[in-house]
Amino acid sequence: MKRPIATSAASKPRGRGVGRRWLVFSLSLLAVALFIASQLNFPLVKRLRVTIADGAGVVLEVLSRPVDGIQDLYGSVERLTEMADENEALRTENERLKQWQQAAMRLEEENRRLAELVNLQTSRPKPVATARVIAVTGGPFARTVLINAGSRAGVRRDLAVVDREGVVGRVIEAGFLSSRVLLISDINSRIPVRIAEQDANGILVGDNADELRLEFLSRGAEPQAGDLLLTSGHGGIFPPDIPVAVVTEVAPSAIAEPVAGLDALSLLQVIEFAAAGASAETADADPSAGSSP
Amino acid sequence: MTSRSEALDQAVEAATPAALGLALLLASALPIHVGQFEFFTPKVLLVLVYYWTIHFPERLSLGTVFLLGLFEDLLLGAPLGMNALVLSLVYFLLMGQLNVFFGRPFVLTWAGFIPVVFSAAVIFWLMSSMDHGAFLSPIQFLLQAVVTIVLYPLLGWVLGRLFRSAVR
Repeated sequence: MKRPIATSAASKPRGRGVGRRWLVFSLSLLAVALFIASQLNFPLVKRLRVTIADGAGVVLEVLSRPVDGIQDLYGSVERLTEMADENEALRTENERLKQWQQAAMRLEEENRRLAELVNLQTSRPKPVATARVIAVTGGPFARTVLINAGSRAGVRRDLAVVDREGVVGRVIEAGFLSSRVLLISDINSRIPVRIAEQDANGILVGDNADELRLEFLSRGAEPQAGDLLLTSGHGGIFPPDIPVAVVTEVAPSAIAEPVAGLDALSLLQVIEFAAAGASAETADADPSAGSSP
Repeated sequence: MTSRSEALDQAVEAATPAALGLALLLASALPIHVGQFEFFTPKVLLVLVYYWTIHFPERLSLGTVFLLGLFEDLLLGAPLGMNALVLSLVYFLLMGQLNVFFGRPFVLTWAGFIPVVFSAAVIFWLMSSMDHGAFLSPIQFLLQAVVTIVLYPLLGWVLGRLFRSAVR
């Protein structure tokens, strides 16, 4: 009689017949119970997630180093081939930026004097930690990443996360050594924004896709393709005036593309929305003050 | 001496599927920067359970499959119990169909994988939608299923090599 095992004909599969049926039935019930428990936000489930992410984070941290190294090497080789063209482009850009720098310094000084004149209290982001992406978690159901900074580095739930271009997302789970970041492209992400060129607010909604939807625009708002969307500061998580996305389509509905490179995230900064006045001292500190795990 | 060595061998053999499953899952979560495809990494544990249940059923237990699925749920932030349920069901259904796959050419086992992946994708989609409280777009789940099916020959080959070298 033929055995139904291709490579291990001498051995028998574990668990048979009725016993296995009962076991699979029990485990299915357990899976459904866990699903319901996670819907009810049981604290134990949350703790379990954080613990697993923390433990796996240690391994992922080690594994991601060579991956980063290979990607850096690949990037360097790619840049070498484009160096001549890039040099020329950078020279031109440098000339242009020098002119802008003069203008920016003049405006900054003017801004400072005017702010002093009216005793204006501004809110500025306070850097909490600089972290590396160690895993891309999520999937079709969510857009999340794990970073190698947790409560040990001062990271906690609901802090904003940015890269050098703009907003990336917010912390939704903070373990001791690692944290989970919900990206702005996740379907559960809602960010209050304003259109830079207009006095109009809206909400930027994720859709588990490359693009974001601009919804709940204030009356009279007319977004145009190319408009920059900045955080409005409403909601208390994202500090105001950080670039989030650029409008790419306006009809039939307003669509925007994130300015942060969400598909190639590497180094991120966790920032805190410091309350006006209260954090003036820390906000003015060197941005590199954030810890680097 | 011999019995101790045999016991060690047995322990290694028993732990191999779980260890390789964990390693593959962690490797698949590494940030490899492949654009939007970064979020459509193949369901490596689904491949592992399918491949090993067909080829080495005696090495895999239902408990191991369930725990691997649970670990995937916790690591990826998926609705808890989703992968544990799907992987356990796939294992159970395949164990009753081993005769169908016995001695068949690779192309047929690959073909048999297609309905398994699409059925799993439907369950993933339904449970994720329940978790979200509204129907999610099924396209992304289908895309992930297609990526998993396309990469099955490569992953299957890797799993076979890993397994044989681990239990040699």
